[in-house]
Amino acid sequence: MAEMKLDDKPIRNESCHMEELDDEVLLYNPSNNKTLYINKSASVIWQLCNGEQTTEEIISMIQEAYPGDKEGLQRDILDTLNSLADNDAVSVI
Amino acid sequence: MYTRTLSFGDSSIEIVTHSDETSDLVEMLFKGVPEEGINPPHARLEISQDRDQDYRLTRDEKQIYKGDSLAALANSLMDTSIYNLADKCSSGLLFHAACLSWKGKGIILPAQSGHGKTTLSAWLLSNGFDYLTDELVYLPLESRQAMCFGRPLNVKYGAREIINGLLGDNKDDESIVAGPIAMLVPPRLVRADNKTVEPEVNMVFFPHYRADAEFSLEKLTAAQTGMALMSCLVNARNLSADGFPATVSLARKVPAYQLTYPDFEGVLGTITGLLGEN
Repeated sequence: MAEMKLDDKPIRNESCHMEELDDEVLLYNPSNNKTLYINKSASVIWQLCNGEQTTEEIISMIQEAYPGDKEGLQRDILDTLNSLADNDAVSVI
Repeated sequence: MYTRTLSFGDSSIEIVTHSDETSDLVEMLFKGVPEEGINPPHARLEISQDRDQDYRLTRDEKQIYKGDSLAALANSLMDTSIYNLADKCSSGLLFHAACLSWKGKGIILPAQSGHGKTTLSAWLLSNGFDYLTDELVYLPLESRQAMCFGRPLNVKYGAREIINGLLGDNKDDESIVAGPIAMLVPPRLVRADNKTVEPEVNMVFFPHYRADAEFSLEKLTAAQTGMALMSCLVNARNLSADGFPATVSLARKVPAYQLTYPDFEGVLGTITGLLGEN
């Protein structure tokens, strides 16, 4: 799948089911019968993918909440979005 | 004509045969499967014989198997029965797993085919565990009471030598159905006093036989357990939210381990030790 771009508007796959277990999160996608094992940060990113905000806006929101290494954070968020997209948990409008 | 109903969970099917030979086969294969069910049968399997004496298995008149091998018929009948029972089961979680009981404590061994469920089950059976199934376990929603699809041990030929060692003098018993890929072995031939029970599941072991590995036991987190259980849930599409919340709920309640082993040394003591502590 193509890399997520900053002006893409990612939208979460609403058929996925999410469950939190202590500090871990599982995301089950019935369309491919895959269960993703993700961390809490990734689950927040997945929930922010509403199809209205661009990738850049999602990154800005998270950078505001967690000030610090902006470039590192942007890279991590893009990696997470690409991984979620590879597993059909998000797509791009 | 002989008719046998098979019920499992909330699903039932009917098997019809027309000869003593095939009705005896059905009795042997499904001895441990209840007849009384909640719902009427939703599918009818029929075994007949042509003029040339070939066996013919049909599902609602669609041909599933035709040939002269009773063993191949048995394998096809078993696979078709399991598929059709699982297909309509919607009142609980149905896992592709083996299940055994030790001193009233249940363990399930969920795994895909080829991970050693049957061989490990047979070995545990020979060491005092009660064998319940090597294929399918049903847990009603919000319950840990295991109902098991009580079929004979389905031994692939790669494990024949080990199983023959466990069978001893029973290895040529006439009730063993030897087919081209596997043989079906009644559990009583491994241990005569094997009991059929419906234990509460106390522990989950994900078995993985690897000849080149060292023995290892890894305690899994609830998330790891949930993820591994989902890959063995066979009726997800019949369940609310694909059975995911119910599976995760089970993963939260029951301790689970990844068990990798090159042989059986250490396996028995490890499992009974953990069950004893629990």
